[in-house]
Amino acid sequence: MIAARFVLGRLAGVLLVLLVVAAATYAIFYLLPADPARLSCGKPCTPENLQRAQQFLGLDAPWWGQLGQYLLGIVAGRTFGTGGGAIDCPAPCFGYSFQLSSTVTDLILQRLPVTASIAVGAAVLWFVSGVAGGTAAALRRGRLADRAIMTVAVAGVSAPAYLVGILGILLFGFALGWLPTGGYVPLTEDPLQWLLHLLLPWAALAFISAAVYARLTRAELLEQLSLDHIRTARAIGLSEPAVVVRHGLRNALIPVVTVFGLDLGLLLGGAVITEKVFSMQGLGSLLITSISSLDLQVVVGITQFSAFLVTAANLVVDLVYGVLDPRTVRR
Amino acid sequence: MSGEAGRREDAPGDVVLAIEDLTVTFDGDPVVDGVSAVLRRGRVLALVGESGSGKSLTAMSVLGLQPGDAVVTGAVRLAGEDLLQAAPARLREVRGGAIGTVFQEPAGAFDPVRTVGSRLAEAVQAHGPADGLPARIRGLLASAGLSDPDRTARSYPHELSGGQLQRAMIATAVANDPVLLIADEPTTALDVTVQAQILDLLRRLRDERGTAVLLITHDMGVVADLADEVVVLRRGRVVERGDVRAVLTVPQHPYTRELLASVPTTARTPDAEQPEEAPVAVLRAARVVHRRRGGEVRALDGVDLGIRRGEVVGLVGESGSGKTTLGRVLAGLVPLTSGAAEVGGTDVGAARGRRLRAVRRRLGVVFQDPASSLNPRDTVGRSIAEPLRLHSAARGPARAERVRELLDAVRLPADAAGRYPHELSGGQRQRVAIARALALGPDLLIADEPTSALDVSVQAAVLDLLEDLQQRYGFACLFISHDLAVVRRLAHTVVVLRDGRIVEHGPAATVLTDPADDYTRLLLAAAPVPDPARQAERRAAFQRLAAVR
Repeated sequence: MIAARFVLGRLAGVLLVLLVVAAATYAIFYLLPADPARLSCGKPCTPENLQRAQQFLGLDAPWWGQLGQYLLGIVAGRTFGTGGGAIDCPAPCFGYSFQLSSTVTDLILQRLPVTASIAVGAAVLWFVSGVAGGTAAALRRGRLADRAIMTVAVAGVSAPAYLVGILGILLFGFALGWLPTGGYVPLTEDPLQWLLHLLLPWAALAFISAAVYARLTRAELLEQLSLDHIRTARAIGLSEPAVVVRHGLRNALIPVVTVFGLDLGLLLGGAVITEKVFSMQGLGSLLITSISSLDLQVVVGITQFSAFLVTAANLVVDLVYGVLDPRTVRR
Repeated sequence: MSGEAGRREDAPGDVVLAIEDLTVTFDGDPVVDGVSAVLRRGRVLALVGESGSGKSLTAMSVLGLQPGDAVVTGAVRLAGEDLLQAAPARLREVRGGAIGTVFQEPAGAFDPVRTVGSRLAEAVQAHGPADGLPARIRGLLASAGLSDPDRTARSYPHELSGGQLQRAMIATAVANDPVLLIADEPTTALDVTVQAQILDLLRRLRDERGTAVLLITHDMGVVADLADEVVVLRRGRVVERGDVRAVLTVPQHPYTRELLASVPTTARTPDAEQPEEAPVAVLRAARVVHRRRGGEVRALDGVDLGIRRGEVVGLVGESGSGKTTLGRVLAGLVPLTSGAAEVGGTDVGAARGRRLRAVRRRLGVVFQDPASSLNPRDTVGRSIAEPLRLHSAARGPARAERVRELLDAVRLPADAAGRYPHELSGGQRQRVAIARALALGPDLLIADEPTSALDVSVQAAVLDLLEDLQQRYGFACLFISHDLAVVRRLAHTVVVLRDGRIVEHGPAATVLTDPADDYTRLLLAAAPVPDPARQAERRAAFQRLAAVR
């Protein structure tokens, strides 16, 4: 009952955030001096052609009407133009790229598997290795293992992703020849090649964050293990793993998970660089191309889509938070 | 199982645990130095001493829970078996098995993100098969005197009171029928009436189950109430031991005498000479209401109070009674929902900006924990000078001179100004806090439990100082405390607060010796005195009063 209210409250928050993001991105990109109608009307651009293009794109309506059409399109789909030349854009419609002659939704869906493979794999890798490394360091505080892990972590925090990526390609790709130097193979085609192609991108993208998480986990766990309730747990006769995992790590993870939620939002940015370094055709490279060619519908669509991903990820984090710390639910 | 170490058929008086020549050193420095003690079935042994005496470290070493860099020598024999030589697995068996432990701070002793019931479940499961676990948990909680064991088991620690949590911790400690219970300051964080109930519960465990209890405390009243034998520790060494009656009534060692003399129990109360002038601080029909989901909490509910110049008003009440809120209202830190609060004729609640600063100039506040109320990165001199910097024109040499004066007034050496809080003891830090509160020569001093975090002998010295300063400067003082003996020592007038209302208000001599209200009587009876015979009478009186309510 209380938990249901907690979830519903968070869901309402997500919808509100998405609405605000939609309005804001729409405003930023469509109020820019770059006129999408002029860009798509061809050369030479006669006033009649321009007007036709404006009508076609729905740009003749006032700004609130355009925004309304855009939002409605996400929910119900929309049609650009009328008659024989009309282009149908089914729901969820994030716009239509006249440069690439495709709906933005289709473009995103084509590129999504690449970026999702990179991002999800990297996130899992950095979370698991960061928390494991931090825990190991905390439990061997001041000893060799602690110093070794923290040294690697300092290196990780200070190394930019593209540098790690390029060094990885040089070492494992060219010098050792163990791993492919770039490109993407779909999971459905060849799972092994998919994995081999992704190992380096994952490592490159996860390295920095894993280092941050190791430091954070170490500090939080040491703090937790110094608390009274840990001493009480030992005095009850619990085994050391039970004390550390059940009572120490669980509490230590609460702030780590919070940071994880925020970091997921930055993941797309990281993926852009990684895709570039490893020459993969994902959402990041699509975004870069469409920004340089002023394909505004695509830019807005991807922004909106990534906002959706970020809020969805944060919703999940909030729910995990509720599991880790039931006090946030029962208040 | 660990049960061999003390079967139920053992006769009372059989040795359960023998601590022999226990020494704990850090970097070669002995913190516990050759302590020996014998615990017997059905008896309570109290380990008494001030902070740093090594009493808690002794108890933790019994369980092998001392800090990692400690070196422990000697022997701790549980039914003959030396626990100091025991393997880790065997020690885990003993912890929570043959030896149960109750700690000081019940709020921190439970994992904040797990229910109380899950802690009990763990305790049971760590030591063998957990048949009929829910019923066992319910039974344990009920036997610890919790009236709604099901609800308690489902609750998270923050949803329960300190007393309820301490009962639950005791239930956890006895979950596997231990032969020995280590109780490390089990009632220090609790209100007096709750303390009396917890002590009762421990007494019942001793009498009904024959559990031996190692009681660690600094409170001689608690010793008188519960202990059979006493061991007095000072700087890691045993200075005196013996039967509780003998030690508390005819102490042999000077340190024991000093400890007992420091306990503020004298019936002496300050002379009630009250100049008839307008009060410095006034509360009129003061109400503070906090709105919460599902209702409102009345922290203060129609309080009328006046504090005159030269008068010390002792404000007494249990946690949640609103006594801290009252102090904060006068300090202008908590707004009133209705009513009026005036200091020196200015309405504290309505004052803003410069007027509020003017009111605050006339106020000094001393809080409970000097360790956290002083900025650790400021020198003592800087901390004391801060109010001068904010509120007065004194600069340079004049300001330094004032700081010197203040340090002298609180009996600290002048060179203390250059030191940092962590270089001082708790008592010295509290003197710094008092000096800071007096820096501007306030009309009103609000002291919120200023001695609760201090050892008894230090507490006595700080109370002396406050009394002396108050007589010298003649400021009005609101002295907030849960400790009736401390209030008796200092206050001219006593106000008893309960659930945000004043239940009794009058001259200290009258209220503390011949109270008109039942609640005041209960509070008075609940506070233990360091004399076993008298304490037994008071306990009986408390139980009668508690039964009536």
